[in-house]
Amino acid sequence: MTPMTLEIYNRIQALPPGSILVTGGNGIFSFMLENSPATIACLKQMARQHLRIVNVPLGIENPPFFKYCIDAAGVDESVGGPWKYGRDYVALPYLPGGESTRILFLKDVKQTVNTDIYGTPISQIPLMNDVKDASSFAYWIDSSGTDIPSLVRTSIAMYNLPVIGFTHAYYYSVYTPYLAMYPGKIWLTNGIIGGAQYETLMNIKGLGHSGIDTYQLVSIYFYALFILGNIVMHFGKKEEEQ
Amino acid sequence: MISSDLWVWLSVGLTLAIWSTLYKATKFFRWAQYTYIAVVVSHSVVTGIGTLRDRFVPLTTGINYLLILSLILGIMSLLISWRKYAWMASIPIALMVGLGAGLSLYTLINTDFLGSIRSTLTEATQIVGVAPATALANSARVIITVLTAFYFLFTIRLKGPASRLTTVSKYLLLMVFGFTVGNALTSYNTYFVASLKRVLVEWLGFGV
Repeated sequence: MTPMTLEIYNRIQALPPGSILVTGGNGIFSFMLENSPATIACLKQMARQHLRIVNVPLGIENPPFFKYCIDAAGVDESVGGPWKYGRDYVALPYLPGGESTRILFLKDVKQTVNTDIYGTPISQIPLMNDVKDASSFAYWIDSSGTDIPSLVRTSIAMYNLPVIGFTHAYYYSVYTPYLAMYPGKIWLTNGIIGGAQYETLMNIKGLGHSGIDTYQLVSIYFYALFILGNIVMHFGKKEEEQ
Repeated sequence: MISSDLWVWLSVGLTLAIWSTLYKATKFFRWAQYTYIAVVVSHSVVTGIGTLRDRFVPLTTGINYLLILSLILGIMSLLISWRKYAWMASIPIALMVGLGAGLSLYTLINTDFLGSIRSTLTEATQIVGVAPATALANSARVIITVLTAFYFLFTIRLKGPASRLTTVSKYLLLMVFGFTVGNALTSYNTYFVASLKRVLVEWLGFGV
């Protein structure tokens, strides 16, 4: 267990019930195995803690990704979960404009978005009545795994809104300098292993666990191929020399 | 037990069709490739139509007439595909680029540029009197940052033993590139794991 994953878990755990978080963003989603496990586990934790969340899609892949995570987490009341749409979570429609839209959204939510994804005016959605601007949110949860530089520039630098990111393994290494730049403002999990760690904290065995198990098996297979390839090449070279 | 979910079968069918290219260029691969592109494009179009409907509600309901400007600029940007009037598309594109650059440039300098310098200087002051692991990490980060920056110093031509610093910087850069490639491979490996899991666990039911 890395201290960073533990700290993210503890921070979510420490939020008072009713706190609102914002998620979504840009980037590559495609239901990837890397950022889903931590996102799903975190949604479960939020629902358990009676927190609320608003999803802000800045990429077109985001709305189905959010729905997938909500379904996989089993937090909606239709499947026996504690969350009710509109009261505890809201899915906004795709907002074009990328970083500029994020800046506007955090400045004035109601000026930036008019309806939710189903076309309901946001004035008729109970949760959205408690949302005004960046100060309404406790954290920006980046489930895209690729959006951290933009979030550092906007959420942290402009609005002092801390960021939690469930990043891909590759991007984790690229984004780690931000951890040193903004200590106490940004926290990241590392790819699928970060998701598996979050699942362990939530005492569940989901995508992260099965993914990391498969990953280990695939790694053994790759190492075996690597060794086999070298042996074949070694003897092939000897034959050529002869 | 093999899955009875039609979507899982479709998903696995596409996965196997993509994998078929490992054998040779097959019709199955081409079918999967075209299907994927068609799905992505149609999803973008449907999302785009939905976005137009949602974003212009204040205009159609008379709440915000200024949105007519966005609508006109949006239509102008579509003219890029019409050679005669393509120049008109340059106006909204220039506005978008200018707005985006203007909004993010200040914070970009403050975060990525000044922020990096600030954090390196902070770490430089936290080498002595801290935990050994922190001291090692901080000193490594400070030394590597300074030496890597040294590689891009072209103003002065280094001679003698000092020129070896450039060689060290080059190796450090190569190390960083190596780590980056290694991490990228880890990510790509996960994509493979995802598709393997789809076939073995979700479809064939192994380990369920």
